Amino acid sequence: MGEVGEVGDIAVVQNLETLFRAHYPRLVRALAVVSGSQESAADAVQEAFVKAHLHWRRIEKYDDPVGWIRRVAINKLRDDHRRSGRKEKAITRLQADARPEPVEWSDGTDVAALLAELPRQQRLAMALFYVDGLSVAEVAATLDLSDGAVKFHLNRGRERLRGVVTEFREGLE
Amino acid sequence: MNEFHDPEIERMLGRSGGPFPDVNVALERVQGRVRQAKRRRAVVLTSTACALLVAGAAFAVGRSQGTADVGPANTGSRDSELRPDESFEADETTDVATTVTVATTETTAATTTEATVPVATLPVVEPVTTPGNTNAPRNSTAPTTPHTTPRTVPPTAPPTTPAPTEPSATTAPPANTTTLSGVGGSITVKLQNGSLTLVSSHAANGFTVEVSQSSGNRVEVRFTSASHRTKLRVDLKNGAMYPRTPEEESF
Repeated sequence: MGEVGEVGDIAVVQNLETLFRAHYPRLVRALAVVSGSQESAADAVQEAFVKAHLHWRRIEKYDDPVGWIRRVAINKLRDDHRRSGRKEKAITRLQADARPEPVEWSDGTDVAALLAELPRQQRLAMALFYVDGLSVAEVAATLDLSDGAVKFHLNRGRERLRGVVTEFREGLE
Repeated sequence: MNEFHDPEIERMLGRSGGPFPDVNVALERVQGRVRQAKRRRAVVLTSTACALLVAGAAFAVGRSQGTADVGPANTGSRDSELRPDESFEADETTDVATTVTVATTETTAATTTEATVPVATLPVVEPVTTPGNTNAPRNSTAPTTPHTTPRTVPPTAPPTTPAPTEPSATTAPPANTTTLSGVGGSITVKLQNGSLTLVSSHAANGFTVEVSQSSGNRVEVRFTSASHRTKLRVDLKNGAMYPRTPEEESF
């Protein structure tokens, strides 16, 4: 990864490439659940890895470099979301469909629409827990929350998703 | 962990996350972005370094000029010399203000002189005939009366703006002779047949005279004393005479 100009750079490239291959797919998919767009999620994660490369000498000393990369990606996604807020409002005003691409569940449920109804923090906690495979403690560290708060979000999110799915199924029957 | 384990939710969210992205493609994109970021960083660093260098150079130049202004060799003012032509080559030493009068007459009302130095190569040498005459009349109607202001101001005095005296159309003689005066003395130069000729030179008290060039496109005479040097020069450009009178102290 990056230009290999000196011995230090080679070490950076090797370390980061290993991290990249191990964490990039899961991280992108988790953030795609939150943003509703895999493209924007991939952009945020790539940007985080670029920053990690540029500041690797400092970041490699951290206890959890991947945690730093994950937080940077989440912040980037959040910034992009805020920045695109005006654009989304304009699209809404023009009566265009600003919702993410529909993702149909096996029974026809639009999962993306279901997730969009969840609060953002809840979506994030669930995505990191269920898609990225983090533990409750890791999710808490990433989101700067307590373990109890993460458990609360996971519980509520799961209930709401299950409730919506159940309602939808009952409606179909 | 187990209390939240839910395969259905996990699959649902996993599907919502989309397919697994191609890591190799993503890696290439990240590499490109890293290269781009490094280039941007290099440009910013280079620009900053250049700006600092320019600022440092400007500061150094300004500082050195400030030092020169208060130096012992430059107690007078600058740029009071006669410059009829802005493109005149400025190859002189640091100039000190002088009072210079350029007259377009045949004779000179010179300051008190100790020595009259005829130039060997000159066809005509006119010695000063009126020593001590420091109050020459400014009558421009007299054809032989020069418009000359004798120099009585020391070199460190504030400069006065010299100005060439335009001859009267009816009374002045033909503008073929120029007289220059400085601290160290005065010279008279004649323009004839497209060539300059040194007519006469008069050194002030305590000055010695040295003729650098006495004819052709340039006439140059230096008056030197123990603490001062006056260089009187006339250049011929496009058929017109351009005088220069740089002064230098404590050289």
